[in-house]
Amino acid sequence: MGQSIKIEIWDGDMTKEYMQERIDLYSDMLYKIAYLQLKNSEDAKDIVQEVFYQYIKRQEEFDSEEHEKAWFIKVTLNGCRKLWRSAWFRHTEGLPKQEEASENNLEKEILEREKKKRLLEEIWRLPRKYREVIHLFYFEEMSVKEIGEVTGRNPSTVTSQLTRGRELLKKRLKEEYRYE
Amino acid sequence: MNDFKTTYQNAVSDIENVHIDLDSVLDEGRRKRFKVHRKRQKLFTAAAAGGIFILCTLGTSQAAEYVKTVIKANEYGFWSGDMLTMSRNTSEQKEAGDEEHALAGSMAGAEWEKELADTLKMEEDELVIESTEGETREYTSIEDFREKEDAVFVLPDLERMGYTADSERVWVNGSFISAQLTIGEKYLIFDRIDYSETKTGHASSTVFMGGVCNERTYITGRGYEYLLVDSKEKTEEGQLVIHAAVSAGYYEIYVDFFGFSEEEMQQILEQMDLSYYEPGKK
Repeated sequence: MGQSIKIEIWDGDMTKEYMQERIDLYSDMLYKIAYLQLKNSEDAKDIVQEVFYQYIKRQEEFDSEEHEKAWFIKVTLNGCRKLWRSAWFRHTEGLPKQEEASENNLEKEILEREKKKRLLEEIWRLPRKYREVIHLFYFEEMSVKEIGEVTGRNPSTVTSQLTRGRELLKKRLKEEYRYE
Repeated sequence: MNDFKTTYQNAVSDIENVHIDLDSVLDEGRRKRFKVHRKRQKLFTAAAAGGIFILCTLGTSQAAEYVKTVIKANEYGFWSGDMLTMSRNTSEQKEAGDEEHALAGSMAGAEWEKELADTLKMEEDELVIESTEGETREYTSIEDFREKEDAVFVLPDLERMGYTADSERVWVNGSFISAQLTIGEKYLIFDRIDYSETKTGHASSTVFMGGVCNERTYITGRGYEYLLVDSKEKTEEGQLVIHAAVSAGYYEIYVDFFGFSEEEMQQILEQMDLSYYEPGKK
């Protein structure tokens, strides 16, 4: 049985510490979700901060940590949808800078980096809904049912979007990938 | 064969980690800026239902026979185009099999409304959006924009009117420039589109979420006639939104007033000297 997590009324340093702990626990996950949706770090940070604001103001209890996590993901995705950009404001950034390759295995690291870069570029080209399900399935390792719950879609729709997303990736990526 | 999951996880893990501070989460100033920024983007975002901005820059090899641009209003927002080039381009594009441009070119009069209705039924990710190429440059002050860009972009002298802007942002993308100014609880959005480099006439349409009403005109002391409409829906804060549109020279200018009265809106329009957009007048 999951632990019940209640957001106490703001009072004292203990609560502040607890809040900061929750922020530290979830911020990376939410930032990555938002960044992959919005393709812009400032907007992604804005969304994540706003999500935590809503979290702090929320008075309802979570049934469990899983419930809390699902709530965070759902609210973040909703926030990203509302901030979805048109081509007019596509001031997307390049992919994140990476550390310099070490001298050892330089060629291998460069090839690996290029592969990851190409993959992320193709992920960003996917329609937003496919990006969402691909990320939640492959990175957050959520089930189709769980993805359906946080995105508000039927499991069959999620499966269909996963399939179509994979098909588009297969078509565009030169590398052959195994997609289980 | 590579494993997609492993590669994807490694790629995403390379995305920077961020530290979010509790104080910044609770900072009301940040929240206010975020809300204003979000409203701004909503107006110019192609959404599944509601506001769609589709700019059509139809290109052919023929030189433009420029016919005076007319901005009109309908129940959704504004649209513009000179009929001669729009009708010519529509037939040419259809022959070329360019369905996307044909859709854009046919957006005039009664056909426009039908096309828009069909477009609104499309899923968000299937929307066809015509846009300019190239990156968007963003500036966090008008001063910075003026220093680094040499484009003509007329803005009112708000200080002269007793207003002090709390924040200023300017975006430049090709022939399109947009500025957002926040003044307390009110804010302004100025957009201008330059058609002087297009090879044909131009056509554009702006749709506001919830539709518009109360169409009217206002003629400034300088003789420019603005077409005005109100958004049917107020903002979340209960503000009235007035939209103004005018063309001058090869430019189209749109101004959105959030939380301003009719009188205040007129005063601001009076401050805008649109003769800068007309060659030979300045």
